[in-house]
Amino acid sequence: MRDPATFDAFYSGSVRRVTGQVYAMTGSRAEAEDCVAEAYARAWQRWDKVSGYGDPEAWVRTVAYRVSVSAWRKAANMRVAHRRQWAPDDTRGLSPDYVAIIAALRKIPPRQRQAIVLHHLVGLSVEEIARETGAAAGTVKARLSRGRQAMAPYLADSEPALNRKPGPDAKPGPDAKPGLNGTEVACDA
Amino acid sequence: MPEEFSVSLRAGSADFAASVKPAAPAAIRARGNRRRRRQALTAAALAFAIAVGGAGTAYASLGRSGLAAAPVTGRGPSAPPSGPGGAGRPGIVAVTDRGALVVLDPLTGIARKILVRGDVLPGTVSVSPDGRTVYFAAGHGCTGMIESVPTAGGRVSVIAPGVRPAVSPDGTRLAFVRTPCRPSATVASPEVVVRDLAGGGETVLPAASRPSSAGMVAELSWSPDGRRLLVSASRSNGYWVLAQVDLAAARYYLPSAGSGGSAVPVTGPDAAHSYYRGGVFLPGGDLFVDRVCCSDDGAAGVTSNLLWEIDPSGRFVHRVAIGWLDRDHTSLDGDPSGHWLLYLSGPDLFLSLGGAAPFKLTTGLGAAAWI
Repeated sequence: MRDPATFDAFYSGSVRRVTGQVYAMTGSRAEAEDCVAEAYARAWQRWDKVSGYGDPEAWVRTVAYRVSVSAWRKAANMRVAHRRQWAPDDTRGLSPDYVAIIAALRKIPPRQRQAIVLHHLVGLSVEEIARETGAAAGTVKARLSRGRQAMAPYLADSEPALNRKPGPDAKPGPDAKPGLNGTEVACDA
Repeated sequence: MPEEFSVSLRAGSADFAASVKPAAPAAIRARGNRRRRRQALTAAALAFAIAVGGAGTAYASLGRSGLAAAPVTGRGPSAPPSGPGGAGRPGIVAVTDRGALVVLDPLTGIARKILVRGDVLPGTVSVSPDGRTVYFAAGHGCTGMIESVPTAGGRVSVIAPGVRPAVSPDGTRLAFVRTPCRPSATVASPEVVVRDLAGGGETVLPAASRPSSAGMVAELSWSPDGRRLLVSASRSNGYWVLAQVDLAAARYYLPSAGSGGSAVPVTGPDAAHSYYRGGVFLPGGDLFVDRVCCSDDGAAGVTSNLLWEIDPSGRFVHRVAIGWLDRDHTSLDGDPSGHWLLYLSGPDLFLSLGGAAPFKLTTGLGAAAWI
């Protein structure tokens, strides 16, 4: 028996957070909102089962991501048209660092992006990501590593993820911070 | 681990999450319920297809069962002409490009009955809620003439001068557009007329207090409760607006202060440059609209033509199709059961079951509607 009250409470308490996570995975506000809504609708469709899961939010997040990937695969033409038509998402009110990170995430492969978001945003461990994505732990580690490397050039001028490779004359200074790959790099921002 | 990266990502995501305006839980549950019904319907259609058509037909049905998938009409027909769900598909009445009013076979798109042989104007046809009468506009005089004919065939009845007929959900009133005949040098503004079919009494809504602000009216549609009209109209500046007109309070059909009407808000990306080129109410109260972007350079500046389901406040519900940029998308219609959508893309008739990928049924039409 599906209980609307428990679903409504679950939905109201988690939808914004999940939308933020899926937005980071897809890079499109409209797509994130649509996929998340679809995922919650599917959750309600089988709420008697989903409500009994240990982490329904993870279920919704996974379904929303799969919906986005599925739509991406099935409608390549549509997405081309959308890129022509849809203006960049409204970024008013968002920090420049976050906008830069989202832009960088859009430029790396989807699986790497998913791993990075689940690890750095959702806060899952490698093992937890492996369970959620159905990949081996080693694969997740590789995706995280490669994803960080792939993002690094796009965040070169961004404050939060300093990952510049020091030039031949560069030396770690007093403000050196760990970069995205965990390397020590100079901060001149 | 690059802690600063995680901190920035989490902080930004929290700001983003705060800006999200999610749909009401009840709307999500309704969407889930609709999805459940659609799956049941698809399963039934699939079972029927397997029973009567073999594996080939069944595969064709399966290919369109992914309702979340975004259909792309720009690719052309996505299925054989018959499409899915043939067993329960309602009938279709249409105006051909030669001006005939016909009843189409809903499975093949072939005309199976001619109701009126010629002089029927393209644009809109409307079917009474009992499915027995078709209202259409014929090309008589300077304004056109609203006429009706039984869907089973029979004598044509003349209603009143006008075009774009739309019969109310209870079948007692007819809304249509009337443009007074004027000398050619004078611009006449179209009026929206609501006529009582039994008594003949009329309520006339001008465009605005200033007649010069009107352009043309492309489509009229009644809300399911029969209290509001959806008017797709252009202003004199060439921009289109989708107006909800409260018939109890309205004085004009173009939205303005004190008009009694309001424009359906355009939401989503690039809303400031987008507009609704047309739209109709669906039986559940949502709207099926043609959302066009961007209008700054006229037709040449159209960069998208999207067929969407939205709610009356403009909130996006479902994407039905992507239309062609160089075509008008007209005759948007939802069948009374709420399962089927149709629209014309240029002369091509497309059908969609449950909002899933539309398929082209036939071509050569100027208007169409579900029976």
